[in-house]
Amino acid sequence: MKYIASEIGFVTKMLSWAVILHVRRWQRYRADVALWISSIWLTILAQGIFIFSAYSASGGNFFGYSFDDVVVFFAITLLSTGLAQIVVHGFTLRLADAVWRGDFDFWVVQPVHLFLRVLLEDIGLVWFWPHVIIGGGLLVWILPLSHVWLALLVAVIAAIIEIGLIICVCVPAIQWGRWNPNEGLWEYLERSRSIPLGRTKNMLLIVLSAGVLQYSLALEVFTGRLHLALFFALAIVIVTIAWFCMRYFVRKYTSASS
Amino acid sequence: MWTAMLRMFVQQQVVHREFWLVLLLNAVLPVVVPLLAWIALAQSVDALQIEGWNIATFTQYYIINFIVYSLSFTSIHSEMGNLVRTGQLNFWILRPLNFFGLSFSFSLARFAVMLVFCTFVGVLVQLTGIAEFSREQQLFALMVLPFSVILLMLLNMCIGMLAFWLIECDGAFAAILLFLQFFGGLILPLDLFPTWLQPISTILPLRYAFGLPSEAVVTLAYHDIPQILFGQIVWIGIFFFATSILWRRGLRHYDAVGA
Repeated sequence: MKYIASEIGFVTKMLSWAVILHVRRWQRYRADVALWISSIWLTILAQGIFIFSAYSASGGNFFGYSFDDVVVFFAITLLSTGLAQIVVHGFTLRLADAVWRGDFDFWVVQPVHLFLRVLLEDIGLVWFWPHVIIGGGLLVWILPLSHVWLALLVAVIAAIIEIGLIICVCVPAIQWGRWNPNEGLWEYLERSRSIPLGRTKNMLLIVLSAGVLQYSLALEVFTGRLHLALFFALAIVIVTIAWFCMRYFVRKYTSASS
Repeated sequence: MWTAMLRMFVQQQVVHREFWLVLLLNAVLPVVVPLLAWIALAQSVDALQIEGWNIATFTQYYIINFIVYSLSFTSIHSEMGNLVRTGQLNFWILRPLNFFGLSFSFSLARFAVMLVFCTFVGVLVQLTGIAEFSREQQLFALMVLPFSVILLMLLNMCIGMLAFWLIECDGAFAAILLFLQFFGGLILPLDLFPTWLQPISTILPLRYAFGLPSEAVVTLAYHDIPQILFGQIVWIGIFFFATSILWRRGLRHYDAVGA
């Protein structure tokens, strides 16, 4: 018990340090942050316009979703991608570079488990708070309190799935330092989560949108067409696969392996 | 020498295994996914037309956008950001080779690789009947689309120059491009924008790269050619001028160990 408490204390301390250092670092580069934040607000606006234009163009017959469902989908996607990117942003950004330079040796020998390193390396709080604020704010604003908790819960589970998927795609960089899907992956995630796909029968669309399907499933859970336990089980499966992938590649890693 | 550089950059593009995945993620999916979404929507509402668009015109529109987007997919802004951030720009400034020549070779190499890819896609699309373009439409496209590609490449270059003033620039670059491309009509035809937002698109450059040329090719709107070409040339001039200014000012700001 004492051991677990000390481990939790240690991890909490590391996490608080990660947040403090992250904020201190980006306080020095306000121009970057201001440019990013303004462009991310505009990007969110663009995504909102796309989904609502599609909804209007369908004359209200939008795969059987009501207007409120569409708003909830938009809010859930923003909230969960924000939460996921806050956790995994630095990892995707730096992993390939760390392997390429040989710095990954130091990631592996740190006392903190490598899975936690995903969070500690560089959190994405400064970059992705607009997603969380708008997504969370919309949910609280439009939904009655009794529904907000379910929406928040499915958003968190969708975020866990997204983290798992991103880790799965990025960890091959441990073996091949030139493998760096960072920007492409981010753009894919940003661009492909445009509309809910849970009720479409277009298989090609579903396959090509596989990386963003968790948001559509989250909406299906919220609208009662998919059981929460199944969605949670999917998250566990994805995270387990990510854990095994990471373990596999770390075991195969030899210093400066690229 | 330029041929050698071009050859080297082409080899660099294709030798990296991740290139094709990044290509898929960056160039193919952003255009294909919205197209499939519209097709699914049209099928689900069982309508022949959505706001004047049908499946055939949607398909043509997005395929044209895909070709323009892929051919201009140089990522020169990203490379520029790396060169400045790591300080490697020093070596290029000191070498007898002109830096703009280097950038041009890099862009041309990407263009050459993508041209092969797009030609393959174009032939495939035409042969399988996914979208059929008449001879007139093909000629029309040859008239207006080259300027679209040049315009996009210069925009990339111009955004890349911001690296002189920024540190963590990749994300900001991507977000700026995402926004401009959206309001240019890459993933949503300009007609389908809410009326109150259309003025924003009017004042932004990329409607002359995606929205207007693609719509004109789809509808064979000959009378729009002068306006489109004029807009493209004006924006090319603006970006060329802005790139030169930013380059000169950026170099003064550059302290040789990164921005």
